[in-house]
Amino acid sequence: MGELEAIGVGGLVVLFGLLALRMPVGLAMVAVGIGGNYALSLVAPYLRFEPYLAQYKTLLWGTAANYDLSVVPLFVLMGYLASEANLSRDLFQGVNAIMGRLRGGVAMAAVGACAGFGAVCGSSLATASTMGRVALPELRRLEYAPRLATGSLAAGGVLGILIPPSVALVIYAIIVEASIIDMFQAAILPGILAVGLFMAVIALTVKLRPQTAPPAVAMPPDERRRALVRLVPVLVIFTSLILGLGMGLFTPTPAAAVGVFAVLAYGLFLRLFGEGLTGAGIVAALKQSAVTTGMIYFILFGSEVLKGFFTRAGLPAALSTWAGATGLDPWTMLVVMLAILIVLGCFMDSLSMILVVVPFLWPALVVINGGDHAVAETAAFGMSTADLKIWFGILALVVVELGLITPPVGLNVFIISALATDVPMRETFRGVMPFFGVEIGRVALLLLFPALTLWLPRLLSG
Amino acid sequence: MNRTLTSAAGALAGLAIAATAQAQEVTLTVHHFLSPKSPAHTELILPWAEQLREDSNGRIDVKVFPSMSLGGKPPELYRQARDGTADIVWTLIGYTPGVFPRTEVFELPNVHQGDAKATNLAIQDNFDKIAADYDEIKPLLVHVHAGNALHMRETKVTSPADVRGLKLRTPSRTGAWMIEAWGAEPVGMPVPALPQALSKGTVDGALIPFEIVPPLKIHELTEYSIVGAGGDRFGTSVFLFGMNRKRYESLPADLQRVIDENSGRGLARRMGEVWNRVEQPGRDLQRQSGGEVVELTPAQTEAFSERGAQVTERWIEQAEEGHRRRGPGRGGQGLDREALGLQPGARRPRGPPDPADVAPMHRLLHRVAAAWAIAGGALLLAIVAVTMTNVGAFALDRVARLFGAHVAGLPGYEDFVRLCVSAAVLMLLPWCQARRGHVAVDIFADTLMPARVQRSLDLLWQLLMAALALFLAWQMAHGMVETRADGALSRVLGWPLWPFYLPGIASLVLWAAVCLVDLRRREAAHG
Repeated sequence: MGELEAIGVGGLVVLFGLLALRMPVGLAMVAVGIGGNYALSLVAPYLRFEPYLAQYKTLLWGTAANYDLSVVPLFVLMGYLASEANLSRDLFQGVNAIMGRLRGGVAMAAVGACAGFGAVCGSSLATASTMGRVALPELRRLEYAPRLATGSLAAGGVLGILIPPSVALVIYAIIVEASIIDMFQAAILPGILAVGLFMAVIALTVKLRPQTAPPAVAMPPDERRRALVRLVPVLVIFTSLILGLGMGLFTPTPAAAVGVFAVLAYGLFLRLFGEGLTGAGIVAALKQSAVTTGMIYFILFGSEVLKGFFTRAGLPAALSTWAGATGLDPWTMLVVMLAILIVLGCFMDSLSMILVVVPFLWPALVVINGGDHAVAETAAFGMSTADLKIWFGILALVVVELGLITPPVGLNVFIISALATDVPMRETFRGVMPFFGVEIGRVALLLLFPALTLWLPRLLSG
Repeated sequence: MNRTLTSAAGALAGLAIAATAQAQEVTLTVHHFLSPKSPAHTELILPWAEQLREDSNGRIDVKVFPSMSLGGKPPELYRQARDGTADIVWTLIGYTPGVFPRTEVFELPNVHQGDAKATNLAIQDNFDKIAADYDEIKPLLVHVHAGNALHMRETKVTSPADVRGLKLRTPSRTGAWMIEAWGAEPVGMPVPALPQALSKGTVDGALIPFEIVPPLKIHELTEYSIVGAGGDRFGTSVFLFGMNRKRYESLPADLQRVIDENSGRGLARRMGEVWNRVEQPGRDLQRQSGGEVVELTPAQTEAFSERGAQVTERWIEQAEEGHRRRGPGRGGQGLDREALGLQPGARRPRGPPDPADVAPMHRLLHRVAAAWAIAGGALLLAIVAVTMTNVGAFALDRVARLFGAHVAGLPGYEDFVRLCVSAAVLMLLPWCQARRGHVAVDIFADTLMPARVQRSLDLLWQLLMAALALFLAWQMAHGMVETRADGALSRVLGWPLWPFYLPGIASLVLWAAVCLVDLRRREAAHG
């Protein structure tokens, strides 16, 4: 390892140190990036420091003026508008009208609605908090066991990251230069698989311990009809978005813009019935999305600065050379990488993790697989680099999100616990455990059967 | 005897190594945006670097950084060379529209005729006429690729009428004009995004040279590649291989000479030959994959040339107008940073603040930040409005086509989105700060550190955040002044870029102000 790489590794250590001291993630990235470049310039005079600083004249603007990323603020805005327009409630009650007749059906409806809302929202935390607010009172009113109620909601929130369109998928796609649409298509089956598995967990829990859920009560017929009618427009908006993206009718940015318009228009239409979006609601949605979008872009900027440091230090190149030379079993390496992501996911939020860690892991993985132009027949993982991009992305996002429901920091669990003040956090963590178990099973399935992720994009792209 | 000889040879070799190590006085960095497998890297930059090492007897070492590995995005390369982030860059002048107003002439359809060598030499012959574009950089080589062919998904094109109403990817600003002159709709996108756009049908075709057909697998996505009669092309793109001027001037005279000998006419000729040659694999692939390379007849070519002439007209008009507006020199004289009133950093607190004084200031700033964020949100809604207009136009167009009419959407959609988002997103940052929306890792600090330490750390981070925001505002103000002086324009719409820096600069100042007021408030609250 040369001096430059050593500085790079040092920078990585300092970065985690600063994060542990609760420095805001974006700021820590910028600090390490600038400080690291200064250190590099001391060792390698040709990497001069003052001209390096001149990059900042345009770096921030350049990060913001990115067409591919423009889909992010729009999706964020759409999610908050949908939430302000109470579409989340319509969704839950509609699904409940269908599934509520089963024992444990309301909890299943909550999971289903989480998946549906994940489609407009793109963030796990927002999905958990929105659906938690809608579904938790209902679950408690019907006297579901607290553990089952909070557990299914915390776990259901995880679906937000995978069900397209998802902000994390967009950002992963941009980092590894994959097609955003391919990523969306690849996420559909694993997402559906997760919904199915979660519902199975609920069914099994209820079967084994009938006291956890009350016997199903049929909804009054007119209430049921009303709920089903209100479900239709929501489903039309959400599914046309997913299908439009999936079939390539839209590219991501126009799709997101049309989505914002559809939610806005439907929300304003509901005003005719005294519901939907008010002026104050729109302002609230704008302000909330400002906070989320600002947070995302600051981290993106930070990662841009950090990348400028790590690439100059030659770290990703060194890591991939090393990975190519170790001769370890490729599958072992992959599992180790996923394990690293799970462990880090326990402490960091998913976006910063994707931005910090994936740029290191991805080039190494490409080398392990057999280089940029690997063909399926000779590659270590039996797939071309283009396919590997998609498959690894889905795997990485799934395990990153596992961090949201694992102690000690499971953010989704925190959010749901904050909503259910009478349920101790430990109970919620226990309630989540069965879901955690099937999630590990799902990762194994996705690992063993890459077709689960790759089949749909292949089918749709022809 | 033998032993002595060997050891003598060894000593000599050692001396030689020491001499080389000593002799290496200058390390030049070269930065570019293509992969290490691209012809630009293997055929231009590496041989050039080797030649420099050889001609200087190892006194110059060259380190090449491909694929933007020194950081930044391709459009920033020119600036990086000018500022010295990299000593030398290889870039496209089309990445910075408006910055090379004179050189652009060589991209025009009827100027470039499909032979890279000929155009390269024409550039050399006329260099004094375009030299004013390069007064801030030392140009080593200004050259072109062999020219744009039109690659179509499924439409065989023999006349401009065949592309009417279709969406075509443009390589440059003037390329967009040409596409408009044909009656088609130009779409701007970076080359790496092209395969996806072609496979999804978001564009119907693209103007690109053959050399990038193989790496992007364009032959698998298109059925027809169209070139003019006798290999004529639809314009080309100009590349700049340029060096930081100060860096060049700081070199001793003999090393400057080495660089001079490795630039200019001889290099231009060689590179013209290289670029003509690297075309062939792309052409072959299109044929082998069942596609067709269509060579237009002279009469058909003429129809395109006539439309191309409109582009030349338009270019001349704009050039004259720019000349009037900016005066004969480069634009932006008389504009200095102080005159813009952008002097952030004058907001240092003095003495311990009184909580009562801070509160109204705090409230006011938060309110301003909220209003500013909502304004940013309104810009996002403007994107929504423009999208809906285009979707509407698209739908109307499908109907109108039944009657042979054509309804055009608003042009330059991506440009518009990019510019709107650049302003909108930065406007959201102060409010994000006010709501403490920036994520941090809480777990270790919460559990392991006493409350006092936590509080001091948080104050420190907040102070640093303010410092960063001010630093960025300051840098961005410089960036804006330079962007204005450069006359940089957006790719398709041709809007000047510098006004889009203003909301960002204001946002950063506001961001810092929010940080500092929060800081003073908390300081006051804790005594």
